[in-house]
Amino acid sequence: MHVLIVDDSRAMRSILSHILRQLGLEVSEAANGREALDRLQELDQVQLALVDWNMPHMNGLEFVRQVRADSRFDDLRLMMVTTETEASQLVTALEAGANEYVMKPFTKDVVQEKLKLMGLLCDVTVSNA
Amino acid sequence: MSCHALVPFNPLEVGQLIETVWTVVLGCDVRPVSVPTDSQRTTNVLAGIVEITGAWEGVVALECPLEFVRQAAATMFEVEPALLTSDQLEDALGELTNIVGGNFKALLPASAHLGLPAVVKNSVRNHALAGATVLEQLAFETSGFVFVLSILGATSAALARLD
Repeated sequence: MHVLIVDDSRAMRSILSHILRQLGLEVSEAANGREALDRLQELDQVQLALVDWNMPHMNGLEFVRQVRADSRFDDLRLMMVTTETEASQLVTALEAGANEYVMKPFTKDVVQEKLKLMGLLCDVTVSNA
Repeated sequence: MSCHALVPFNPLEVGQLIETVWTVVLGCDVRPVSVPTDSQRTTNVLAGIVEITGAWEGVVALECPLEFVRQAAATMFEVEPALLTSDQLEDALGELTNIVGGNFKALLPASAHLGLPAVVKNSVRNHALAGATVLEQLAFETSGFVFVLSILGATSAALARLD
């Protein structure tokens, strides 16, 4: 499975990328929503985007709205990865088309569990690489 | 009215969130310590700053010794500390500040908006926030380094809107 990580922090992209690669997933990165839309058009078969909320240029919520307005991305699953904890904001993201969310800080186990809940990951042996 | 009476959050909860962030993101233990005096503070620091606006308005600032930021960034980027660039150091502290600020916002009793983090060299007192009211300061020791979390600048008008 190919995952696009959308976060303006290179450190956070590094953390998420490491976790996803341990789970055997292919990873690409974008630094904001606008860049992520470009990447989606360049890359084939991205099945999941992990999306930060708070980003410059185009934030995560706007990215979700634009993806859901484009039928080319109907099959793309979207998971918000965010410090946003207000229920009303999370409901807004889910209503805009996000499928799931993870709160920062998160552990590897939480990410793995969320991917399983979304049906995107079977039980796997996590490598230590 | 004391300054603490105006603060709409529990400092103990703020300490707990620092422990959680440090443990989960960095794999480090932290323990609360006394806030260092001016003469005890190291001058070689980076400060991460993030603004909160809305029903509560203020700033969360994390002042960390540069060498601690280097250790933290090495963990987050999984590279040797000596190989890190200054951009990577600032990015890592910015993200830690973002996570702390977002989780701090969750402790507030009303809706608020988290800004984008910024990182400055030296203490926040050397920058535009020098005149801001310090509502709370907490210090922590981790891996032999002391860092300071400051909650700054909520005005009485902003706090009054919480009533």
